[in-house]
Amino acid sequence: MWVIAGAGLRDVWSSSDGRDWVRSDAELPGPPRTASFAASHDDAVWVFGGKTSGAGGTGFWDGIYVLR
Amino acid sequence: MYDPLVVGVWPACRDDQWPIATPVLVHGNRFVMIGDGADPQPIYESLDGARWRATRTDADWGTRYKSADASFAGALWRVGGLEPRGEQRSYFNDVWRSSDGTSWHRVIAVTLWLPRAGAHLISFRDSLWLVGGEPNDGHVWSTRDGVTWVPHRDTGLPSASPQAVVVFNGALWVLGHGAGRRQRMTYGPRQMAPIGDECCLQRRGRLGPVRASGSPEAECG
Repeated sequence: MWVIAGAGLRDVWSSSDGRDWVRSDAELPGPPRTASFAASHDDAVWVFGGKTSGAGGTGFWDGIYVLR
Repeated sequence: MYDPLVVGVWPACRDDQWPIATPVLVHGNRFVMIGDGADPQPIYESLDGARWRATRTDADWGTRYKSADASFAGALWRVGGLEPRGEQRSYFNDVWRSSDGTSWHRVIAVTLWLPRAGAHLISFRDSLWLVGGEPNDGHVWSTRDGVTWVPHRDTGLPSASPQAVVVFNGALWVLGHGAGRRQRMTYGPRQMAPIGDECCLQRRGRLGPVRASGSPEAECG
């Protein structure tokens, strides 16, 4: 089970039991973003898009990433 | 695991709609994303996650935002959401079904659960499950056909909408209530009580370097 990024975050966590979580040393590329969506498919985790916020206002992130 | 690998970019389709803020579903052997906020709304499909094709649908649910989508029983499902009407927002509790993603049928206009947006819809144990959303009634709901919904009360879940609902190891997991407090909780389907929070998070392991590939050309319908 994976938790990837979030508000102001690009971190990647995994857990096999929901209680103990392991943080990866790697981060999701691109700016911190919310509203990304992840899907498990073909033995990989796919991460799509997201919404960024900063001094310039809200923006959309168009990157698609696969973790395998 | 696991190198985050850039595989592509969202297609900037000719309707100028960025396909964002709706879930990307795994439906059969392909990714599917149902458009959000445009009318009529396209559906986006991809076999490889990089090259996307937009197809117009016959769905007449209006300019709908924050619906909950899922792949279940060989069909695509969309429930609820909101539609801005001037200064107001209209919330919905209807259920839509499509066997091909193009032709949509509203199987029920008003369900038992309260109208809501931003809910989570997920397939689990031969049923379709609805969790969270705003506003909501605090219950978890399930259905086998999209028409008859069964409430699951006394789940112990907070009334706030969670950030994620996933199926893992034969259980339904609800994660991330209380985003404003930066508190993360994980609930199992049976005990329905906090079984983990941020105090238990541990930092271990290493990942390889990030590398990027090219950006395959996106396709738009």
